Amino acid sequence: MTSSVGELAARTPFRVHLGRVLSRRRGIVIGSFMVLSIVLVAIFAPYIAPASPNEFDVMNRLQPPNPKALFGTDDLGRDIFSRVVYGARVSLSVGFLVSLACLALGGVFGVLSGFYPRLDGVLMRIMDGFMSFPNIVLAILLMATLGASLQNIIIALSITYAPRMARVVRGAVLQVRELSYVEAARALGARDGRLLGRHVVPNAISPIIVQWTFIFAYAILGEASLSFLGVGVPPDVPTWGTILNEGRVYIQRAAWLTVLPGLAILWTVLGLNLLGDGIRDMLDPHLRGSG
Amino acid sequence: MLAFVARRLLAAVPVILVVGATVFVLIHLAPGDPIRVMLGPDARLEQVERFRQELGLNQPLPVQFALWFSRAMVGDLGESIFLRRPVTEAILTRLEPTLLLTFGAVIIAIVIGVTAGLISGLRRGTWIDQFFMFLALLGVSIPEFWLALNLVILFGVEWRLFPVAGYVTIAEGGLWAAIRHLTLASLAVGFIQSALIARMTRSSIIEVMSLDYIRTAKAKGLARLPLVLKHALRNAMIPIITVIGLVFALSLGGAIVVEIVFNIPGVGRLLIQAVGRRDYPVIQGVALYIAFAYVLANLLVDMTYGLIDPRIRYD
Repeated sequence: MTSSVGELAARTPFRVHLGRVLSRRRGIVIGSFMVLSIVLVAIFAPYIAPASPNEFDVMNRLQPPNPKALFGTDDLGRDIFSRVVYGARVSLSVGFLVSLACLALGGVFGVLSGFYPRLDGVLMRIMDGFMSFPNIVLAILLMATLGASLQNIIIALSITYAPRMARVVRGAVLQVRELSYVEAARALGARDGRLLGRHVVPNAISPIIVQWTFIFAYAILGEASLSFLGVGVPPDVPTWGTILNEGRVYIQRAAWLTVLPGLAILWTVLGLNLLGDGIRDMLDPHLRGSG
Repeated sequence: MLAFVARRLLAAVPVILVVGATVFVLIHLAPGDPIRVMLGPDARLEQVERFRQELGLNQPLPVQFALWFSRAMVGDLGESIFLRRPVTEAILTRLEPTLLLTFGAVIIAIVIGVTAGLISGLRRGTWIDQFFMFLALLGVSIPEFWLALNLVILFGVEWRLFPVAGYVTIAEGGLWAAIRHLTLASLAVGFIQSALIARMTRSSIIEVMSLDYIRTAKAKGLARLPLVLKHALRNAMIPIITVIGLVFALSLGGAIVVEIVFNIPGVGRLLIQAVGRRDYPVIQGVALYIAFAYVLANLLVDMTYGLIDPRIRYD
């Protein structure tokens, strides 16, 4: 009796199958859960937060965490939990938009650089120039030029992290370009645009997805650092960075102002990193089967 | 070797030139007039113009850049608009804590990272491997400044083991006092950066331990410790050294952020203050200095390759 792999798979009960996937892809599952949970918090912020993020309550200044104010209150009596919940909206939006912009910028430069060797030298030298600065310093310089605003922080972080994406895309394109099916398509007379769109880019997509999650994580850390330094988002916008910046002054009297909001950053970035690592391990043929 | 160093330093000049030009253009595109910021909104027009002339800010941009860069190459970065003193001097007086902090962080990162990576790699798949790799994952997920704040709360406020803020120079209070003021800051930056080193050490040692000569050495009956330290680690070192070079650069960036947490009067605080005051010469000078430090660190890494692997020659 012969049975195909498909039949065997069909006979495995779904529950068992799901269990296997879950145990092998633990990182992806936990990471997705963490990221999804914070995305839901951001979307349903008005229903989750007990107070408005900028509502003053001078009678309840610097209250330690209690059942009414889960994360305590700050020097103006604002509810820190509500600020963190609303902060998720800004911080996640910044991270998401920066990672999208990096995908576009890095994608274009990476494909051009990987597909057209003549452009490669020039483009990669420019990328090297950008990368010969610690990221945070480049971002600070860009913010100094552009001025502190939400829109500018997205521009500054996109310029800072796009070279990372460009390098990954270039590497992936270089690898795929030499494969025989691309050569075959070229021999059949496919033009550059068709080659890129139908053959090169779809097959170079997996390292790009992995890098995309990492840049999402970097961007959240970057926004927090810039806002913490006071060169990022204006102080009246609640983001995780500005909340920490305001809490720093009271570190000796009110430690909850710094510890608890930071956990939100940790939770989100850890989730994204778990997700990125998990996807990378899943797509890497060298690691496949060993985990 | 000398020829190699000279060639590499020469090759760094265009990089520095590009960085310098980029920073120069960026800063001069920025909105806001430093003279207005300095003299305040009540300043009279002729006062503003006289000051602008005095500082050379009325010249065309290319002229300003050519003047600035040719002077910068011989160490003269101009005068700070706000501090009214040479930029080189301002940077040099702030250099001590930043360099000490960075080196401290790199040493901590190497010690934690190589140890954790080595143990993880040799005990692959065990709980201790998973524990260290989880710590490494935490390391890349925590903002440096937040870890620094937590260390302040724990070691500075609760247990009062280390000073919470400020800095005492070596000249004022001796090396020990200086190090005490920087310990928590170095620890914060070093722990974060150790994650990269740990991951690289782990994968590098796993690869080397599966090679034929390690099996031969084992078969000869070589004890485990010399096997790991002399045969495996040394051969696994090249990618680790590369990461250490990267960690140096990242630590420099981390030092800049963490200096703000601890109120350490270093180059980072100088930069942030200069950004707030639109003090162009200082911003340009600090950026140039950081790019230069980065180039030097890379050169140092390339030179270390030859020490570790005698097959690598510089000619």
